Amino acid sequence: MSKFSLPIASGKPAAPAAQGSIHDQIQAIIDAHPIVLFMKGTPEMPQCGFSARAANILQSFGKPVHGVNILADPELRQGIKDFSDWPTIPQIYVKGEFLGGSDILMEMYQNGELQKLIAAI
Amino acid sequence: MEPEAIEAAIRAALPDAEVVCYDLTGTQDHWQIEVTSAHFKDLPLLRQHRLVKEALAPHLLNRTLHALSLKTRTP
Repeated sequence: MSKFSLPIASGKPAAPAAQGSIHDQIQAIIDAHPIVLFMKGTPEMPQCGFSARAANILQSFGKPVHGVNILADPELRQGIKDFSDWPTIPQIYVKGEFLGGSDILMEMYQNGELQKLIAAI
Repeated sequence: MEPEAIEAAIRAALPDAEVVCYDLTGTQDHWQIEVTSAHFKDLPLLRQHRLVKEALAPHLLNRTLHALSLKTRTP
C-alpha cells in the first residue's frame, strides 16, 4: 500500500482487479497524449489556483494539453496519487513521464528545462 | 496546521532542515514552505520535493494540510 493512499472506507483493501483498472486507465491516458495535466477543473475552467497556474504554463507552448478533471471522478482522484506516489494535485506528465506538481513545473519553466522538453514533442 | 508542527514533521525526516512557512490564506491549511537542507545536494528537484511531501504525508492525507507550495534549496 503506498503511503499516500487513503484507507478504503469499507475497511477492506480495493480488489487488485479494481485497482488495476484505474492504473491501466491512467497508463493509457499518459501513453496517448504527450502533455497530460491531472487537475481540479479543466484547462479552460480551472477550479484551483495551482491547477490554473499549471494549465497556463503548459498552454503557453501552443501544443495540445490533455486535461483530466479529477474532481469528476473520486476513484481517479485517489488512483492518480497512488499511480505517481505523489499526494497532491495537479500532476503533470510529459511523454508519459511524471514531472511533479505546479511548483516543479514553474521551476522547470523558469530555468528553461520545460521548454526543451516540450520542444522535443 | 501550526507552523511549528510543519517544521517538526519536516525536521523528523530532514534533521538539518531550515524551514520557513508562509500562510497563503490565513486558514493555516494553504502553506508556502521553503526548506533548506544539505540532503538536497545533487538530488533532482522531484526527489527533493518528494522528501518534503513524504514527511508531511499524514497531514496531506487527513487534509489538515490542503495546499502546499514548496521551495527547496541547499545551504
